[in-house]
Amino acid sequence: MSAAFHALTGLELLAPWRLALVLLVVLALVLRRRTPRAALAFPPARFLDADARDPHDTPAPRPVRVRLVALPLALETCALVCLVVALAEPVRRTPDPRRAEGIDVVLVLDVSSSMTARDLDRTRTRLDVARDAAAQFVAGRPDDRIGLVTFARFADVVAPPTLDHGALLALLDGVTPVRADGPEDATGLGTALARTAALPAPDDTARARVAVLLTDGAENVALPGARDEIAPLHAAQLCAERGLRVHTVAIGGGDASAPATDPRQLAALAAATGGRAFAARDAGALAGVYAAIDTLEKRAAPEQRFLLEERFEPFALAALGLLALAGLAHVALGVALP
Amino acid sequence: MSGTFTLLRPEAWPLLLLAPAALALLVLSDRARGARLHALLGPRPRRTASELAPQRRLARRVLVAAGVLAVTSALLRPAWGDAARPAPPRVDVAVCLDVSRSMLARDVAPSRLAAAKGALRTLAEGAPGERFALVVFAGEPRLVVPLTRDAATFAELVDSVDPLSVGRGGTDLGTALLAAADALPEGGGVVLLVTDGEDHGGRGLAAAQALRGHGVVVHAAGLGTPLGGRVTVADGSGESFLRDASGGEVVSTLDAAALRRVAEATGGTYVDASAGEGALLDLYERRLVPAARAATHDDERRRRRSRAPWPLAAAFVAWLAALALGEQLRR
Repeated sequence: MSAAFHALTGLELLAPWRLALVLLVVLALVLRRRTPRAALAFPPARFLDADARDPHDTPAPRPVRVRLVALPLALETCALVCLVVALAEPVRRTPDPRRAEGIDVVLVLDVSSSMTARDLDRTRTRLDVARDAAAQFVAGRPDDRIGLVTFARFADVVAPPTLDHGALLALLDGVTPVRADGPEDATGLGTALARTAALPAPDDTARARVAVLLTDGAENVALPGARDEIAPLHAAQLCAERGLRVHTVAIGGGDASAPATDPRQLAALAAATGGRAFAARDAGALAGVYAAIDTLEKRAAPEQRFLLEERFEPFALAALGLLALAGLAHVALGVALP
Repeated sequence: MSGTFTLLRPEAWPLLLLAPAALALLVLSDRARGARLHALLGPRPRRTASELAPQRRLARRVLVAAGVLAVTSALLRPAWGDAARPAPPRVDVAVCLDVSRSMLARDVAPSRLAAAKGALRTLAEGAPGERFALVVFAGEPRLVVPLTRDAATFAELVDSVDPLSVGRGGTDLGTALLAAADALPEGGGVVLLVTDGEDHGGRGLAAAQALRGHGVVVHAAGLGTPLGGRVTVADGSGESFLRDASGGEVVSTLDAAALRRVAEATGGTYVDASAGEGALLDLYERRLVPAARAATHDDERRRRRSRAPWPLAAAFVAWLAALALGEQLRR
């Protein structure tokens, strides 16, 4: 019944069982039939009746007025049926344009010159591989606000956390590694994490914040003795204080000439913030790492929310209109006596 | 926020007049009918009247009218009781910032671009919780900040842009407006155009008109003076003024009228951003917030489910009773 209604009107009934009220309408009609109608005693009526019953006589054609005698009642009944439909709460269901905002995920991406090495994949640089894996990760989390921080010697916020993932991916595409042996070619894990921690927390403090730190090197900025630089572990503690969980991803290792990562340091960073440390030696493994992080940070999938807009009005108006028509018919057809 | 009684469609109140009108019509027609009956039957009105049970008929009329009253009050969409969490009004603002070289003119201190950046910083600080995006443009647009609530990073990135942020020189307002609208979510939002009003592409107005159909309102903030200023460029030995091919100094003037046309084509407003750092924040407070509040209010009214089934049920009972009563004789 509800399905047929949907096919007919594009609307849904929130309370289809209320359609059973139609049975009451039928009951009322039966009651009405069984009680005698108001009538005037009109003596010749008996003869008229007898006339009509004469089998030899073809009955006189009934005038339109007489045929339509039941019209007002029919219209009233229709009005009641419309009212029953309105009572069953017809609604229009549309996807809610208001997007739910999930967690904040910041991709922290190493852009030191060693990211141009081609050990993860023969045809692509480490940066390209990381970019593709990140893009896939982003595509799987449409409701999360995702930001992008790149770092080498210094850290740059390329994109603050945003739901506009198309724009984020375009910005990710525009990321280039720093010049080899330039003044900026270094690995400042501490600086990067400190900058990431400084991104404003969401207003809703219950919401998780996650950073995915991808690097192919070991900290070489905040070395012992270097003043005014933020040591990675200090930065990690800052992250922990600000409710930011850091997962670390070490890539590379297949190329002896490139600087190697420091697994113990990365593990310590992850542990200090409640995150996990991963390592990937090829493109497939990196995709696997992102998939694992995706699973780790999975929340109950936010159900697609729908807008249910009331649409009882047309039926209520139709009921009013039909009732008015019934009254009109009553008068126009002259069934008004007595 | 619960328990308060509200009407979600109060503007439909004239419908309530239907019920007394219906009752009056019914009673009048009954009277006319009584008169005709009297004429037909002659002077025996009292007995006939009692046979026809006038109280019952009147009861039926009242029931029908009560049903009409109930249905029309349902149409006002009364609501009460359910906890409607009031969503704070939110604005999504895509800032469309002109970084063409004419923005380096110093008819506004310290320069048009610097003044614009100052006004944008004031805006971002004064409107926490709103989402901002930044598109810079000259001969082509470039998205610098996707829509975000991170006002601090937004302000930081606003500060970092200059004419070199965009590959191609010139001023193409049309593509810039479209790019800014692209940075907004599906439902639309506000494009805040900050420019000195030169539009070499000439498609600004057409683009604005196209945006209107997507629920985007363009507010324009003009920088510069009608008299204009020479365009400063840095060269090797310091600074000089930009010269055109014939060697004359380029003077850039503010075309406020054109900007006003662009803004008004979308229902937006034009403000003079040269007036001071607070000009954009003032625009936000004066126009954007009230508009967002009104939109949120409308949206909530649309989303909220009313308690219409209750009056509808009352109407059903009343009409059903009227139907069942019929116009019967009391025996």
